[in-house]
Amino acid sequence: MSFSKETIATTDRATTPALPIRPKSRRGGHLLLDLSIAGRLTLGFLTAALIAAFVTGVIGIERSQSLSRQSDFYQSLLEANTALTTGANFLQLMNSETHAVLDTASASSPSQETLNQEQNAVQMLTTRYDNTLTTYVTSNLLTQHPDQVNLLDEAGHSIQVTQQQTLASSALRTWHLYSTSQQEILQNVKQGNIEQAQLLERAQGEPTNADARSALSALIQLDTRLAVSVRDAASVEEQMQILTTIIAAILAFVAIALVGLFISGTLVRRLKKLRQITQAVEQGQLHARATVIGRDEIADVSASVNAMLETIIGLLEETRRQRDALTNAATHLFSDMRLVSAGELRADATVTNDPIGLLANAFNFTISRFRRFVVRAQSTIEQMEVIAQHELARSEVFAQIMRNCLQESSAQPHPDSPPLNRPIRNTPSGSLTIPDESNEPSDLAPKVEHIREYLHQLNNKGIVQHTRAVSVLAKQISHALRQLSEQMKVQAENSLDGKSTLALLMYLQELQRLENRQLHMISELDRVQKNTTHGLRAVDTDLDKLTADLLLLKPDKSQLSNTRVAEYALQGIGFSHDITMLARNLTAVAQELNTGIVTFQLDSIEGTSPATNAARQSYVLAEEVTLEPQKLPAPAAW
Amino acid sequence: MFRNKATAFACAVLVLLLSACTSPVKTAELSGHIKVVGSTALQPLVTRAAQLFQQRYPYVQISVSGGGSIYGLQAAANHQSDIGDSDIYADPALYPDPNLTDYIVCVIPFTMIVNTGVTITNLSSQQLTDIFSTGTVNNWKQVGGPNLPIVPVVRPATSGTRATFRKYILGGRDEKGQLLQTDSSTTVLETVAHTPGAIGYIGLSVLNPNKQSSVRAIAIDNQMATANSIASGRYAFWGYEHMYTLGESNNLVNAFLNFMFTPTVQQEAHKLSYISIDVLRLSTVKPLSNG
Repeated sequence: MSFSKETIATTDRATTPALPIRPKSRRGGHLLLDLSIAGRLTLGFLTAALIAAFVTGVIGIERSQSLSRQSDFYQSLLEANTALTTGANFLQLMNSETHAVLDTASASSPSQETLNQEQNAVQMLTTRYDNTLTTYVTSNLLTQHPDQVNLLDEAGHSIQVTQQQTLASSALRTWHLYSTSQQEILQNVKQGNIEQAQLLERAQGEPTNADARSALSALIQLDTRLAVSVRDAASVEEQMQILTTIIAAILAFVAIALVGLFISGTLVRRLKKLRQITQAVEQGQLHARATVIGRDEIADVSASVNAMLETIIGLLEETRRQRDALTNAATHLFSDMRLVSAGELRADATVTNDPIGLLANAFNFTISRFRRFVVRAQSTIEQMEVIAQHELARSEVFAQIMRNCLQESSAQPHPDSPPLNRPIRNTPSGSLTIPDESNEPSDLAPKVEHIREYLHQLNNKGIVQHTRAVSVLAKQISHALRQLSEQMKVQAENSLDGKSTLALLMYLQELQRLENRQLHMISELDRVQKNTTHGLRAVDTDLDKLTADLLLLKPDKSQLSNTRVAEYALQGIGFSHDITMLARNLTAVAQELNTGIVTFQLDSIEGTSPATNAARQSYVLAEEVTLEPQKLPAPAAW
Repeated sequence: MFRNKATAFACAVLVLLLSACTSPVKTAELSGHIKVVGSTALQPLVTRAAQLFQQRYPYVQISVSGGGSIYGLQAAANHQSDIGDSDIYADPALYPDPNLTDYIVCVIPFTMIVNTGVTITNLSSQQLTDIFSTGTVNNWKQVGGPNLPIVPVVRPATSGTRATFRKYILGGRDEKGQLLQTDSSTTVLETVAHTPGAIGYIGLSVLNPNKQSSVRAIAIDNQMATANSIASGRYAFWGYEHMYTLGESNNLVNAFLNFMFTPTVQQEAHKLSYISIDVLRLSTVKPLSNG
């Protein structure tokens, strides 16, 4: 048994497929499927967070960059504006200072110091304005700031770049003209040509100053317009950025959704397949197996599900095997029981360690006890037979004696009669010996007494005791059978499948039948015992009466008439005849019991068996004899 | 898959909507009337530009007329016209409105013209001053020409061209000569053509379309009025053409003014013998001669 179990185990291991680590298809998810689920989820979330952070960062950086560009532009515009406005002031001041110079110069007695001061002032203003314009032209123009040009392009105001250049060149040209004329004027003043200087101032200086100021103010206005353009560009940029933000958000959402989809796919696909497997198992298909892909928790679960299914199949096979073995053993037991039922009490069922085997053991025990009982009963019956035969012989002897007595009384009443035919001596078991030749009534009494005693003995020892013993045995056997049937009932309840249960139920029925027969037997034995007891008791009373009669007869020996003796002898003969009948009946009963036990069929106990009838008849006769002593059965009835 | 398709579709719709939002004002919606007065020197270009603009925007009407630079400035400053063309700068003292915006649309070169009887080809600035202002030179033979009395043709005081001539050639001096009654370049042309020994000055935009055999352009300081000489600063007798306008909020006026700067119009300017402004970047930066 253990070896077979081992082989089962090895075959299980052989049929379990080795876990495939690399799937045949889906190259993309290899590495991912080897990661634990927690790792994969972490990776997914980190990727999603990364995507979101990246998109947000890019958008934020772009926005801040554009804002900083705009603010830089505004800053530069402000600086340029301030510078140019200061320059416009300078031009104004130049004009007024030149006027002041001329006025001072044309005075009647010009103060040289004041003149010099004013001339210096003019010169300084000139230098200042020159620097301002030069600085502006060299560093503040749009063309020198490509990002500012780009900004204006976005707003569609790229014309203003050219405009700025043109206005700047116009400002330079007018300034150049003005400064030239100014120099000339100052030159004239230095040379003392005040009138010429004044003329020049009026004719050229002022107009050119006006031109220069106009050109400069045009430039300043352009810078103001540039600010408006930057605002337009800012709004355009803002719209572009909203668009970019929306698109980036959508892309990020799609990307994160893809990542989530991908990762959930690695989980859900295999779980769905696993669910298919378990659903198949629910419906009874134990041969479905999950394909193990990857090395993560789901793969572990799949592998263990496979192993579980293998184990289940193994267990089922094991159960089936055990049940078959049990059924086999039960079948054997059943056949043995059949044998027993047929009457073969020597059946010996094989004992094993399984429940059927233990049942077989109990069965064996019960059957052996039953067999012992049967054997004992048989022996008892044989004893009974012997006793009965013995009694039969004895009664015949008694009858002979009576006959002799009758003959002697009818022929001659000799006190010394020749010895008669001695009846045959009894069997060793019988203790009733033929008394000596005297057939006197006084000798009859002890004989009768002996018979009585012997009958008592028989009643007590032989029959009653033995039948009682037999009934006790039978009761024990029935008790054992009951126990066995209970055990089988319990076994039937704990059995593994229906077949063994059915077998066990069959056995149960058989045992119950056995028990029933047993009970019948017991009751029959009791009845027999009662009958016998009754009969013997009747015999006993009869004998007692006979003894009394004989004793009565004793003192009045002389009055003994032949007819009385003959009567008594006849009664005695009749009585012995009855006894013989009783004994014969007893024999018959005993024989029937024997055959019944042998054939194991005591079905017709309640029925009309001839032995029972004979017993009943004899009992009735015995009663008649005792109740009506006058009644003489015909001796010819012999 | 469905989710991706839906988002792609939504994204496309969103892009279309937003691009529609960001597009500028529909240009086909421009309609209205623009009045342009002022300089006769700029008038040919403005007329041509107006034609082109009206072709593109059929619902717009532009009326272009002359009257002189000062008239144009005054009209612009007093809201009598939308745009005032001018050859001269608007004096901040005379036109102090800060909203009066200057748009320099092109450069007009001027040239001295002489009657074909005069054989010389070049005059120096000093000679011109002597001829036109001081009068010391009154015969062509004094400057290497034939023996003809010089007849300078003088424009009226309202002429912007005259102002430019005085500032850039005469150095602010007065002119003396045959005074014309009206400031008309064509009149100058005819006068010079029919007056022997006459000398005058005229914008190239007027001269070249009306080429006459009896008028010849001459150089100043050995420089002819070409884009090159002007750009390099060797030729001084040229001026910016301004278009002044009050207020920025007029979409139509702004559109037209922006249109003036488009290559289409600038090419037209070149065709009409103006000089486009992109030729004249910053090359006029000359080292200043300080005292």
